[in-house]
Amino acid sequence: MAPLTPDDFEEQALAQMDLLYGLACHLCHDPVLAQDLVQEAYLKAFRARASFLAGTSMRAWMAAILRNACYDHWRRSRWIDPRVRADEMARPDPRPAQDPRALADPALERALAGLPEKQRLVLVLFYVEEWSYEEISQALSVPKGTLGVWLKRAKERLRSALQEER
Amino acid sequence: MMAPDEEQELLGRLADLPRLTAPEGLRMRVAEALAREKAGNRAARPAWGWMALAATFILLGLLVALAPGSPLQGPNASQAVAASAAAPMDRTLALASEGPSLERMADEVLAEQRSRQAHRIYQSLEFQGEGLDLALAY
Repeated sequence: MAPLTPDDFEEQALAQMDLLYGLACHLCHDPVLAQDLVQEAYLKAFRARASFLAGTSMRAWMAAILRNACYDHWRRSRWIDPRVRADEMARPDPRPAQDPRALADPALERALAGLPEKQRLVLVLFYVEEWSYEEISQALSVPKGTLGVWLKRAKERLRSALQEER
Repeated sequence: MMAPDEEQELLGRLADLPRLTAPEGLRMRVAEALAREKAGNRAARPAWGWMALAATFILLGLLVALAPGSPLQGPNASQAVAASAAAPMDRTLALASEGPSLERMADEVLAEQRSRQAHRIYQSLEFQGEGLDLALAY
């Protein structure tokens, strides 16, 4: 299958911008930083467009690139020591959410922000963005079987966090 | 363990979270960044058209240079053979016009040979003489 032409890439990828921006806000809790990360992700994706497999989900591929861009940013800014193992990156972010979503349900948003990154992403992608397991599995590079476990834990943790809020 | 109604309520709240819309400024920034990237790609891409044109000119130049009778070309093979064949003939004719006999030419060759032999013998004697001088000195 021929790689994406620059114009094809632009057409397909730019259609995912709202989604990517929302994900970036969930990942970094900073709308300004989220915009930088989205732009960086687009440039990275453009340069790597030959590696996109035709027939797979463009938004899942872009989400994976965005997530890696976030990790790179964290490493660069030393929020997370690069020697920390990948699973330890999933620690909760103590900062409150600053994106406009917080206005809709501030308690829920704060509880979400307190979840480890993986659990937060799984919940958002599955219940808010209504992605399939297949796409989430591709975006987060985890087997589909693991997603079910993460979702269950994420929901329980979210419920506990909400109960603590009350 | 979460009760079913509790779970339903939680999922309802999650589903009610509004989806964010990317700011217009971000769209413009990304579009501009992608346009710059595309322009950079175009600049970095080799100009195949110009390269093909240059190759055509080089080929044409070679064809002209190698064409028979071209002023850029040296003597061709037959001309070179004729010239090399003509050279000794010219020399012979020149010698004949000067009138040297075969005998005289043979004498010249022999004299030259003798002179070379004499030189070699002289050198050898000289070497031996030096050796003898050395031996006498000791």
